[in-house]
Amino acid sequence: MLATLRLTWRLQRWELAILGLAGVGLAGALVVIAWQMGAIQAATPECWARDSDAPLEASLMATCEGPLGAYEGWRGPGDIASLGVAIAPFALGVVLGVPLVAREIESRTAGITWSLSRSRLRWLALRVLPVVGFVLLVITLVSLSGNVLLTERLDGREPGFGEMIAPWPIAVTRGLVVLGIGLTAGALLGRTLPALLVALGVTGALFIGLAFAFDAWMASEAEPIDVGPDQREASRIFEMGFRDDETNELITMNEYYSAAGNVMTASEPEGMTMIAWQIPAEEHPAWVAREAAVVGGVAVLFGIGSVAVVVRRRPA
Amino acid sequence: MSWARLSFRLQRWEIVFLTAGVALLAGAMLWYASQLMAVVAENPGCDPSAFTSGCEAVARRYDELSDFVTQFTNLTWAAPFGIGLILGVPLVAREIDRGTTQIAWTLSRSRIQWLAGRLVVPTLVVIGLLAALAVTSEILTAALFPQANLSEDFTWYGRRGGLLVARGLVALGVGVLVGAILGRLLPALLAGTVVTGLVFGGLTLGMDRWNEAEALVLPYGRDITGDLSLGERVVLADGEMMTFLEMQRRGVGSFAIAMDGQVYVPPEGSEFEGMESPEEVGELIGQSHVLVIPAERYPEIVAREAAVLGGVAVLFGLGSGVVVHRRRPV
Repeated sequence: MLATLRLTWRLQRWELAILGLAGVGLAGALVVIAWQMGAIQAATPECWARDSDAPLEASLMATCEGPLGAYEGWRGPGDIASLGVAIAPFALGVVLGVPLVAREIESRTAGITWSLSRSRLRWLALRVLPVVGFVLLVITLVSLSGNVLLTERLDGREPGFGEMIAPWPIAVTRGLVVLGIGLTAGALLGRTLPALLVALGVTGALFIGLAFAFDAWMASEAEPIDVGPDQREASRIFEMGFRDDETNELITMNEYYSAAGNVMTASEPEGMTMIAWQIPAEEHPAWVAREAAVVGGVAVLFGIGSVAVVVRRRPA
Repeated sequence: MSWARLSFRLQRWEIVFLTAGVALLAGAMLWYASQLMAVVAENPGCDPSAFTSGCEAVARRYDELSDFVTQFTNLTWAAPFGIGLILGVPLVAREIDRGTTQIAWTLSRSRIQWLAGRLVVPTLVVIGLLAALAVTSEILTAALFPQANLSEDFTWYGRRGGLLVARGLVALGVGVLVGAILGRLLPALLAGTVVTGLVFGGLTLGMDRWNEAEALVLPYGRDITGDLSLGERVVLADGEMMTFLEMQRRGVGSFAIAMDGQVYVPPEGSEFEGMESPEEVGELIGQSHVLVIPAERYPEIVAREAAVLGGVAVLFGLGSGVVVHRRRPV
């Protein structure tokens, strides 16, 4: 076991060191930003007990202008760090997955190592499992730190759709699927840099496809719900429209204005109630589970694919 | 020409993939440009960028297309960095990584000559691919802003035109240098990405300061469409100019800006109430201004930045030469 870990470290020490340090640095930055934002709020609670869109009361202006400005000042770094959380699974998966087999083939050591191993499958498992462990560890660290920042920014509200920081199950399965893509591309092409480019292309295509597929799935299950004062930003809205108060007939906003030929206005037309075809924020955990299951399934498929390639391909 | 053929063979996969990617992107950009042009041509009475009565469907279609177009400009912005690094990093790093430098450097008349020979093909590929994107991004921008004279307009500055090529050459230089120093492909690619970010961050800050020193200070509210906006400043009654942040640091914590851009502070010891007019109760301390480079200076500013980037690319090339000349081949 120790020998396997040592070998993994020696073969990929540069990538592991750079990505590990980046992950720890990012996690530290996320926690510090969340801590600073929380400290500003805790020191001046009177400035935050209001609707964030409402203007500041005159009596609080002198007290709150500084803290509000300081809080806003942390938003920019928070956004950049959140982007880092979103990118981390992809970067870890592709950079660590591609060279696992490709480098051995490229440097022509695959022939020797595959001959010396009891089976290629065992060889692949011993190479892949420590890297999978590393990917899981770093993504978990980054994801949990990201959630510390997200919790701070949401100020007690539950996270919903549209957050840049994905929930932990989705982040982990994304990392694993990209690792699988990198592994398969590397094993197929047997050259590191071309495989890296192919893996990036396949990853992009896959996740764009998944995004469209999930959008279509969610849109098919979206329900028309009145847009009242309780409407949550965290819901996933697909289409705005109106309900005729008398007939209960539904019409999309585009259809309504196309028919009426009027310029759009912010207010509701008389006798109509504004609705939105939406997935309510309360259903967010269920959709997270669905997405994680689908992405996890794809990861398993790529894992099987990489095994098939390694078992069958020529070592050079 | 055998050295050129060898250089191509060594990087053929990267060149093929990047060419395919650029062809796809350029094709998609041209298709969207044709769609935008068709929307404008089929509805001559409508301004597609405005939701006016009778033109809602046109505006909606134009809006949908614009969303995609913006994503393409993000890709054209990122392309120089990606293409430059992917072709630059393996140039020396792969040879060292595989242990073939010893033979290659021994067989060459000089290491510098070897490096120069290796650099020609990737440099030409970077120039060719990014020139294609530079042209298609100009066509796409012209389709989205049909009224603008883009030869004298800073709209989407740095996301279209020749600057893409200049940036790609800098990224290529960074990639070659970092690859030559580290001598390992994947770590050099990661480190090259970080160094590229730092180099371009520094260059952007430097160019911004240079532009600010030459910018016009225009009163708030002037039409600055097409100009290069470099941020807002407050010009105080005594003529001193400062940013809003600097004003706050001087202790002017509370102020209000009227519709005409005039800046007022509340009477001493009080604050502005929510809806009251600052002109009536406050004291005028200055006027808000914007710093801009006028649109007609676009060609000059682009040429200047391209020259700076070209100089930086040459510096990275020279640095790579020094590293290759001095380093051990393993």
